[in-house]
Amino acid sequence: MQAEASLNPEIYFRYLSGKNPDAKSVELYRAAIKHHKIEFSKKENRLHNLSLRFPFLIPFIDGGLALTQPLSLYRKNIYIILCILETCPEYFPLLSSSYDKKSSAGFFKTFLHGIRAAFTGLFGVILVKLI
Amino acid sequence: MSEVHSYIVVGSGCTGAMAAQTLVEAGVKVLMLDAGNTNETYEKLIPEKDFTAIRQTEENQSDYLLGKKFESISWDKIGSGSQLTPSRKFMLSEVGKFLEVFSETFFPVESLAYGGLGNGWGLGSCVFSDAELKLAGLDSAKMKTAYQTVADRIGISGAQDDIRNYTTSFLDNIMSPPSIDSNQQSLRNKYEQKNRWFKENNFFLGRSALALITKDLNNRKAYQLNDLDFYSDKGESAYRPWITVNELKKKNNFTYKGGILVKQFKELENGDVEIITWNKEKNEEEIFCTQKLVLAPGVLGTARIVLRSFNKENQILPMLCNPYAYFPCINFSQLGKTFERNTLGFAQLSLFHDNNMQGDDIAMASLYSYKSLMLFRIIKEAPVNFRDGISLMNFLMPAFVIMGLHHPEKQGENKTLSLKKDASKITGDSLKAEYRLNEKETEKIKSRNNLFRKAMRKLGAVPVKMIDPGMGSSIHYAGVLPFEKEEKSFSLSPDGRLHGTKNIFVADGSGFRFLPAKGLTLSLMANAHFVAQNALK
Repeated sequence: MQAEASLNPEIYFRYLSGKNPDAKSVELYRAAIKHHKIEFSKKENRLHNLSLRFPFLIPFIDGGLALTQPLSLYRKNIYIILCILETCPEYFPLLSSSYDKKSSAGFFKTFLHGIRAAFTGLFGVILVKLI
Repeated sequence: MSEVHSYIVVGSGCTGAMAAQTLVEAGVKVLMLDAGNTNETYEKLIPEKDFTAIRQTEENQSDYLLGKKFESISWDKIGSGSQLTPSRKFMLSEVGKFLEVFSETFFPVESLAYGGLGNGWGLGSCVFSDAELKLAGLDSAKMKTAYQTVADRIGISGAQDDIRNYTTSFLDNIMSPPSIDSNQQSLRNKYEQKNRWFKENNFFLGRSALALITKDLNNRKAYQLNDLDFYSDKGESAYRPWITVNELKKKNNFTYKGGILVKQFKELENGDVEIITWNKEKNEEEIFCTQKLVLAPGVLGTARIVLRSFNKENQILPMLCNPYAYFPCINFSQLGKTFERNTLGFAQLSLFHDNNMQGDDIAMASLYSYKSLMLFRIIKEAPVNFRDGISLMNFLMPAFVIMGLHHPEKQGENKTLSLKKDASKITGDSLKAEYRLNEKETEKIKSRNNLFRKAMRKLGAVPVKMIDPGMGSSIHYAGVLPFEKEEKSFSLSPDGRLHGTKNIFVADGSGFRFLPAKGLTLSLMANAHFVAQNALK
């Protein structure tokens, strides 16, 4: 089932960074999952297939699993992509700890993200249970 | 086995390196036997830039920040060994093969690396108080001289502040500390503002004393803030034992032999010591002979060798290990602030709690900022989806303070080691360990954890979680062959000689009868110097 995990990593890159990955990032991802084997369970496969069809559900699935099964392989797959993003220079502004953020704007934005994270997590718990 | 060596030192870690240096400087011939695993792949890959510049520009940074086999990506429940970056992971190679420990309650970290666990030492350097030295069974006056010798060799930086009595105390030649970041400075400001509360509650905060040079020393360069403290030893400003061993290799009276795992010894009738080893490269036994043997393979390694040598399978040895937990805290005054480009990865501040102001019951917390270990490790710990986790942690990161808290530890029941036969191992055995705190000890630790939580809140940093990685995670081990004045099996004389032998000395922490919470390594090295001096007599 490993092949299915490695299929279409682009949707998860887009989920995390908001843009299509370059060839180097995808190449790194494929190299990484050779060392970190990901064999989805049936349920994780269903969640993965659902994500492929409806990418807007990914934050809900991810958030739901973060609360119920934080060590799910579905999340590990996204985590590997996160690690790769953090070591690609073009994503430095995305993962660079507030270098250019003004305090009040940053606080407001983070507050909104916190609300969104709580909402997607709660909705995600229900979604993950239903799938 | 033809040559009889004058001195053989086993192990190249902090204690082995110090003992060997003392012997070599005294002019005797020394052979060092060491497993000596190395990996220089990553050090060579890391460019001469600071961490931020690497992140912004280097296309191949994943090779050394994540590892060529992506070994830095961990999906375990607890991010154990998070500081084991790709360039440091070699410290643990072959440990499972040669140094297995069976236990449900004790999870030690050991190393077969060139330089041992000293490769990952957090550099915290503290002298023990007179009361702590006495409880440990160490001679206060002699240790003070030894501390100074070691401090001069390795170079220590620290400050003349409220914690000097707990860190560098009577030591001379202490260098000024590296600059402090705004996150930690704000804690220090709060400490000054609320100084009365801290003093009334026996808490003391100040700059950590570190084995990190801020002025050039011999061939080593003064520390440059580049935020690569967990990845690279460029410039050798952070002390690592291999620096000493590399220097010793240039001397005519020193020989280093790597690839050797010492299994056991036998003292012959004429007083010479036969050492049976396993040559990892040739995959065969190799025997060495010496007039005097100085063991410094680390406390658990010493336990294995001694138990094997006396063929005491059912012998139970005592053991000491500092209880340890760490607490991620949020320093609210730093929320959303811009991080300095480069910060010190090692502990910048230390917080001591001197329970009765007698110096015999001191707990110590090291305070770290969090940056170069990267966001992905902490995003994983947040119970939210990864996308929102990125922006939340981005915002919180400049405000993170990680408090690593060590508690002092006394001998007790259910803190033991023994050797059991294991035919699957090259050595023919494995170590079995048990480590359980009693109810009273657990309660005391809980209550002290709460005191430290309160102290952190007073500093403006709110602990959000306690992570208890389990017994063994402090990587501070001692007390398997406790010091005894009288001849007694499985103990050491106060000068470090193994009772029941004439020419076998133990230079690691095996003799300590008490384990203070303070950073242990400086005291281990001072004791190693002292033991080596005794071996010369």
